[in-house]
Amino acid sequence: MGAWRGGRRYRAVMARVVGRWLEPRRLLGAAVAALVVLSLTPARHLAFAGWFGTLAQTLVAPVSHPVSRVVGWVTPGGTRAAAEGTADDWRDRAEAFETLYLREREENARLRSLVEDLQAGVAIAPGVSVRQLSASVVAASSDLASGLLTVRTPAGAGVTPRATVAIVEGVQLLGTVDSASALLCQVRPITDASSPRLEGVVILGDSRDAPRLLCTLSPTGSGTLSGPVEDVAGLPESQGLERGQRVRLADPTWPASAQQLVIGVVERIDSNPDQPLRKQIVVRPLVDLSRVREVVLRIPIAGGVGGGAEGGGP
Amino acid sequence: MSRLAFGLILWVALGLELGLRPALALGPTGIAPSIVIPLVVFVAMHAPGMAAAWAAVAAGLLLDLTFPIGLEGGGEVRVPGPMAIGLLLAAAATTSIRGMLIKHNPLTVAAVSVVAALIAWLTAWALLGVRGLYGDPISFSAGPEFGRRILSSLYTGVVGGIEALVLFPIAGVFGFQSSAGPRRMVPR
Repeated sequence: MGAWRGGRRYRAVMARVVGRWLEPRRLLGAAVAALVVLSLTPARHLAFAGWFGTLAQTLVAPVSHPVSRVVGWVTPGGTRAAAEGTADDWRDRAEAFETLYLREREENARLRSLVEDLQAGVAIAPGVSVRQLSASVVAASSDLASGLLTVRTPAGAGVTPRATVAIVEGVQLLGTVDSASALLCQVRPITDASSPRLEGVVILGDSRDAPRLLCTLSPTGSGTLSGPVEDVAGLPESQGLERGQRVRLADPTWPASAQQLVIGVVERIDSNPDQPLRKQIVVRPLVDLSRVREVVLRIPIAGGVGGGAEGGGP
Repeated sequence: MSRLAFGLILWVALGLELGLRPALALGPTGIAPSIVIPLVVFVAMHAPGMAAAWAAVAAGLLLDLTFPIGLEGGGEVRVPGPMAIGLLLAAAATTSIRGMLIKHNPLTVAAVSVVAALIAWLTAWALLGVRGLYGDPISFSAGPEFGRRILSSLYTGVVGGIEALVLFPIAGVFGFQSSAGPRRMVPR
């Protein structure tokens, strides 16, 4: 009897304590304290939030994705379907084949080098081939500070961070995949302020064997990239650095499938403030990378040979 | 206040915010309005204080979770907290002045949205800026962000005024007690 009474009293006390702590005001105070702590927790301890973030974005996608589609359909430059068969369309296709040609030429050079290395008895790791996957941009980041794009990927696509690159309009490099979950991945555009510096080449002229100038480009944060360009003495007058020239990626830290993709065109040529005798260029991508609606993901296939694209040209 | 109605409308508002942001952004400046903040302001103008506070925390937390911040060495992180606290402060400010406001005027929602957006974004800006002091590798440049957030707050006011035109007709679904009807003077 005594034990029964004691248990009842214990339950009553516990109910009072729990009830007091579950008061909305106290709960709100506890939630705010937890949020302040989380706000200041170092990034390396916040990996768990990524799961909740993906869940939230997946739940919101039924609204944000149709809206993005409608916006892409309404705003100019959102889709190229209307341009099919026009001069611009054919120019883009020619550009795509030029990219393919340049990549194949690089691949040819790589294979020649591989043969030489094999002849010398050096084992070289095989390259990677890629498959291309069209994917929709589900949403931009909801914060003003971030330019990351959320892209919906089919289940089992095999998108891997860093190794997968995203392109638009066939040849324009968009950026690398920063993180990936089962259905969504985050792409960091090359123009985003947080993107790393990249190496490229300015192609001086239209011919296949036109001279190239190496350049190092950093995002400016306003949709362009800028950086110093190498100065090569003895170039003919007709083959100087000019506005409108294409800049292509030639950065060994990027995946092989991204090499020779277009970074943009030279928009402005300034003198380098650090080295007055050298020049600095401002490069603008062919399209506004913050407004793209559809991207093509170039996913490396492990164990494949060569850098060519599967399922047609880019 | 009906939590279900608020949840559904918040879901739509967040989807619209994520989907429309690139279209509403002013070029590559990153200046873009919020659709969620005017909703939080609207709720804070009409709902009981505690309900408004929880609504603001929920909306802010969802914004934080759909907000991947790039890391300097590559990768991204989501920081739960900055916008949740920012919107909580914005909602608290709104509830404290709502007695002086003409609640059924879209211009009121527009004006209060500007103030609320300033409070929310500058709080988030400060909390993210503090992380730089101890070398957290998030890619966040406080200088340009400050001006961008102030201009985005003004832009949010414009969107808030338009959003109010949608929210007022559907105010009944929220189940606000004050929406039952105007107060009447009772003679003693």
